[in-house]
Amino acid sequence: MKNILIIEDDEDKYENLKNYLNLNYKNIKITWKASYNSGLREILKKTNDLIILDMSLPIYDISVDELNSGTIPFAGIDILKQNKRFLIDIPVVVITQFETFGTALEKVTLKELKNKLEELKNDCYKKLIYYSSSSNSWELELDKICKELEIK
Amino acid sequence: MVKKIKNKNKNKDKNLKIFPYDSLKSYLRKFYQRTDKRNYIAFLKLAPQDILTNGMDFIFENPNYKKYLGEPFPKSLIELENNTTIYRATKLSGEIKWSAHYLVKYAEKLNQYIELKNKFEINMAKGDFNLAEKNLELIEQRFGYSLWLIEHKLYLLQKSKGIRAQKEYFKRICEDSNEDFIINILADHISAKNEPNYKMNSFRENLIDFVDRLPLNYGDYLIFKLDFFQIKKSENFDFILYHELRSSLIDGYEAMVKILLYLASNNEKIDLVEKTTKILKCIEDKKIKKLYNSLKKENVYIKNQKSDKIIKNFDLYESGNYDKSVELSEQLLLDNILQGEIYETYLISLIKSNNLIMERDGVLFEALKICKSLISSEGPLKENYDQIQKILSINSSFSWSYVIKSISKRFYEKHHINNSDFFLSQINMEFFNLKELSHLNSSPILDDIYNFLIEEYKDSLTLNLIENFNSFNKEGILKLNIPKERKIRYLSEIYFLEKKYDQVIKHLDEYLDKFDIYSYNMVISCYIKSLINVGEIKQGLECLVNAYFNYRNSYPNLPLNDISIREIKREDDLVKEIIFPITMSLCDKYNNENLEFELYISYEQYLLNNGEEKPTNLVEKMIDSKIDKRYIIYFLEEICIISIMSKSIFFGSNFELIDERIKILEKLIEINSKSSEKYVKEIYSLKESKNLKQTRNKLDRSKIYINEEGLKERMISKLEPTFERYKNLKNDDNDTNDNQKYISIPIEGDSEETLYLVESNKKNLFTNMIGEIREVFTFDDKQGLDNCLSTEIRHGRIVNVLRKKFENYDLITKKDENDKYLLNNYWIDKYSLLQPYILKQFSTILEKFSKTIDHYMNYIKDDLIQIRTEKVNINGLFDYLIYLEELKKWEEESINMTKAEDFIEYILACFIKKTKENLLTVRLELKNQIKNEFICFLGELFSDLEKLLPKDQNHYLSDIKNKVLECKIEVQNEIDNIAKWFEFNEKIEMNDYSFNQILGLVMETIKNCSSTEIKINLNPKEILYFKGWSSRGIFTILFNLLYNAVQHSNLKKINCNIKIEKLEHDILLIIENDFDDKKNKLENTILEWNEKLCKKDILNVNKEGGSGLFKIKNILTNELSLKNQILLKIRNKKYFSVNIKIERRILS
Repeated sequence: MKNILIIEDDEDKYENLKNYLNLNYKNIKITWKASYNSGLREILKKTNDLIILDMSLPIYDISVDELNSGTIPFAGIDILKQNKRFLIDIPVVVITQFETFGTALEKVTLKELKNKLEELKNDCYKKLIYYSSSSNSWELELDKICKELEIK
Repeated sequence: MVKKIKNKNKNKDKNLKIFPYDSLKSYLRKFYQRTDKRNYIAFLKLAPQDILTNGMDFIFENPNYKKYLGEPFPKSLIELENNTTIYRATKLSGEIKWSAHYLVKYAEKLNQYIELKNKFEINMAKGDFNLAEKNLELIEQRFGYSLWLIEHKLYLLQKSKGIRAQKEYFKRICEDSNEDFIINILADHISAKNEPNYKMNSFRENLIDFVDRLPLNYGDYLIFKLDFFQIKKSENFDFILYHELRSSLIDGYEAMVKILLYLASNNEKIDLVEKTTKILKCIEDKKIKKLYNSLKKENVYIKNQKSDKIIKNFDLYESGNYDKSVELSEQLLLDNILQGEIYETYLISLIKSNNLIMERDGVLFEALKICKSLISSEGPLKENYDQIQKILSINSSFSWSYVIKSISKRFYEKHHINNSDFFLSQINMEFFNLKELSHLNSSPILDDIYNFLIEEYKDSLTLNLIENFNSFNKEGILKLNIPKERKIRYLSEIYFLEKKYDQVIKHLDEYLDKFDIYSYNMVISCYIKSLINVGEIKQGLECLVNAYFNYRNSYPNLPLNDISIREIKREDDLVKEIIFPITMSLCDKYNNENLEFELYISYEQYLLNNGEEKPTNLVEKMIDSKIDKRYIIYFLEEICIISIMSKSIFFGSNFELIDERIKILEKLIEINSKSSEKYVKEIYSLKESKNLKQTRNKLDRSKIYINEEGLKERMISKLEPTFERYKNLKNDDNDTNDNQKYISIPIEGDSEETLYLVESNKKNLFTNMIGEIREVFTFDDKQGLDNCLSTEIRHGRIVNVLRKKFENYDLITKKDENDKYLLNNYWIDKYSLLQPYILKQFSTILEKFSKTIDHYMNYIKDDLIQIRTEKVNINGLFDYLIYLEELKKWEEESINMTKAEDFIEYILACFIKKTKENLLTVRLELKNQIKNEFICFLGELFSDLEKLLPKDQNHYLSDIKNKVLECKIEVQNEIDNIAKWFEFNEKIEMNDYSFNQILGLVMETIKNCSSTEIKINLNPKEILYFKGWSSRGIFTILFNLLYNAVQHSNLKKINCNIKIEKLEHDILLIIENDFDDKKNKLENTILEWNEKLCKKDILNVNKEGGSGLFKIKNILTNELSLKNQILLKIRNKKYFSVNIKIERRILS
């Protein structure tokens, strides 16, 4: 049994990811966290075999964040940095549905984000996958990673 | 135009200007609708030099061709922007070459212009505004209108006559240009930039925000025109030059000069620049000549009396004769104020000799004063730098601005300064600044000039010093006749460059404390870096932190960009020290890159290494360990802030963070009582926002409100006699077969549901009583559930809250008076360069989306959030159908009840149970079906957008697609939030609250529901506190009143005066807002309303739409049980007010 952690604040995208994984892999258990804080806490338990990470996330789960303080555009990068700091060696796949990130003042394209992620020099970071509900290319890319990690 | 701008300025900085969409559209149309008779000119733009030269001659000899080039000196503003219709070159080189050949055809005129412009520049710099005005008048007379003229006239008027004159001119420009897009936008921004209180940072933020909504080349064009020094790439220079030359010859020339300077200073297309400056050489522009000579490495310098004096001035300064240097500098400046090479020496001599800058009004003197404060680390540096940025931006077509830019950057942002800045500064000087030139000795362009000067001025102390310094000749420096302090400084710098860090430390250890602030600033970085380089990292950082706290304004001189964060992090001992997070914080604050995450790590490592997870646990230990108090204050004040602590896993929610921050601030009050006012203010604001949020959450969860006591009372008064009759009726003895006693009637529109009525008298009466109770429970005007659904959820709430989510991303528009959806101008203009037929499809997609969303939201409101009975609302989720099994059960269970009260209490409990089940259904429906519907709608929109363009061009629409995705997440969250409205809470304890608090909450909700801007003026004599139990009712009353104001005022922006005061027995609340009663409708109905509001029984409280005033009356009378009086008034046909008097017992 492989444990997969999905850190994703878009419930719809999470549902699609979960359905895809459940349909294609039998020996898996999926945990869902919807924010930077809850995701990081889950990672620190070190019980997961793969992390599927979104890039823009709220700090706290909307359900506990009664102040609703908004989304951090590069929260995924912060999580990867934390992984490195805490010597977590769980493979991470970043799956994003956005084509650009940040604000008008600091706009980052998908390609630039890819470079940013590579610059982190975090061995656990595996790939940046572009997710689109109208295409299955993300499924193929994710499948490749899962196979590499012997997720069945 | 002015009015249009004002109206559209909602939710933004007051200076943010709004895009005149229609102007842009017509403007763009001109590009695409041109007929093609200008192929020859287009061909010339790509032709080799000789063909171009001959071709240009040919054009100027043939009026039929020349007319296509337009009027070089437009006589009116209309002519200015409707000038030429020639094609644009496809390459920058083509556009530049063409433009240069065109410009030199008017060399004589341009020379006259340059002469007048120079005079204008000097007069503005010196503050001789009358003379400057005359210069500008002559420029206008001789060369007609230009964008340059408009820009500088606004500037001159602001300086000489003030803001009113400037704004009047702006208004005239808008009118006279027929609200032309480019002229308006430029004039609008320039006018705003010239406003004395408008900060450059805000201007830049707003400009970027504005530009982000434009096609790329227009964005770059506006930045070029409005904030030239912020230009970072030459990508759209062809478009810019083309556009400027289309406007007027003057604008074309000004753009050409800036483009050439930019390219040369960034080492781009040097061949092209050289060839172009050669073509333009016949124009008497010093900058162009100096640039050409520098590129050709020709002798650009002729030794003369003036240059001798400049060198003498440098030498006076170097030898320590600061007073004399000041004297000579002032003489030279009065002789020619544009001698930029003097500025820096003059300013430093003033600082060294404690002299004041000479008193003059001119803009240049203003800039010099600010530079002086930057060099001597005086005053608020950041504000000063912002101010100088503004001056530079306004004066970017004047030579001196390049020199000042280089000086200010060198002393405030030394890590941002580059060869390009030095180069531009030198090109824009009359002579050269030797020291600055020495920084540039790696420049291939100016190398030779430097060598030439060294040769010419062998005996100059300054050049000797530079030579010795550059060759690391320490002996030579020691022999020079310069002050000892300076010798030490230069030697230390040389040792540093030689990497002899021990020597740097040795020299500076002794002298650092003896230096004046200027010299200290010059060497502190070398000293700290030397300590770090010899491995004394802790000592180095201690020195850095100490320097920061001793001379707060010296931070631009600290090596915050050079410290290797990685090296520091490796130092295990260091992470325990408070200087570790402080250094990180300073690096984050003043460094080029964002180091917020590294700062957070340093904060957390410092805490963990001292055995704590949260800052408040460490404060006492910090105080005990005798850490410098300033460090503790800085750590708590600037580092232990919410944005940093939020990255920590030791806090589980924002409320926890707020509580921690409040505790930190309380500690700070103890430690640093002199700043307690600031801390108290922050505590108040945090507590306020927390309380507000908590109250909001409670209010959201108490929307479904059932007044059991009130209902019981109503039901008893209605049913008591019937119940008595029912009890006295005999049972029907033949009641053995249940099925015979109930008549089944199919429910309209629902084939599966059946209504059961009973045949027997007693059972019939029982069913009637249940029906009556249900009627009161659901539809009673005063206490019924539908009243609550209507007031709290349907009226102005659910649809608007959801709609606002889509509006925030500009994905939907509203309907016009003819019930048609307005064009989505935000996105249509953003993508205005799409092919017209695609743009039409795009617009149709967005219109369809608006329709879909509105249709579905209305379905939620009108069909789903409704009470369903056998007679009404077959889709209603509040299902109060009465089923046979229920009837039987209730009858059986109540059979022995003898009192009407017990019976009603029992049935009421059954309906409350039913309500709880219904609420669960609604929550599930929202979280599943409704949420999925919205996801589908947004998914369809996304997919429609993806299909609009071929795959390889799809990235063009990425902005709107991103917004669709962001909106999808927000809508899902909002629906989860709305689901919380449908929770049943027996009793939520509400705290007492202030009127201001509840008004804050209402305003937040209004902002979430409406795009109309509302400005509240609340001037209470005293802050009134209300009892907690009234919060729900008062919230709803205020919401309804203010929602009415925004919804029915017919204005896009309203002012609302709110007055609340204690009377002898009552409280008087007056809410008055301006409105536009176009059809005098309100005035006619107000009497009728006032009459109705006086009546005891109010009807129509369950109806949505309308004013909601009857709902307010109902809440006051029935929910809050307060005596009240509501009076509506209209004043001067412009102001509508609601006056409400309520009993004082509501106050706590």
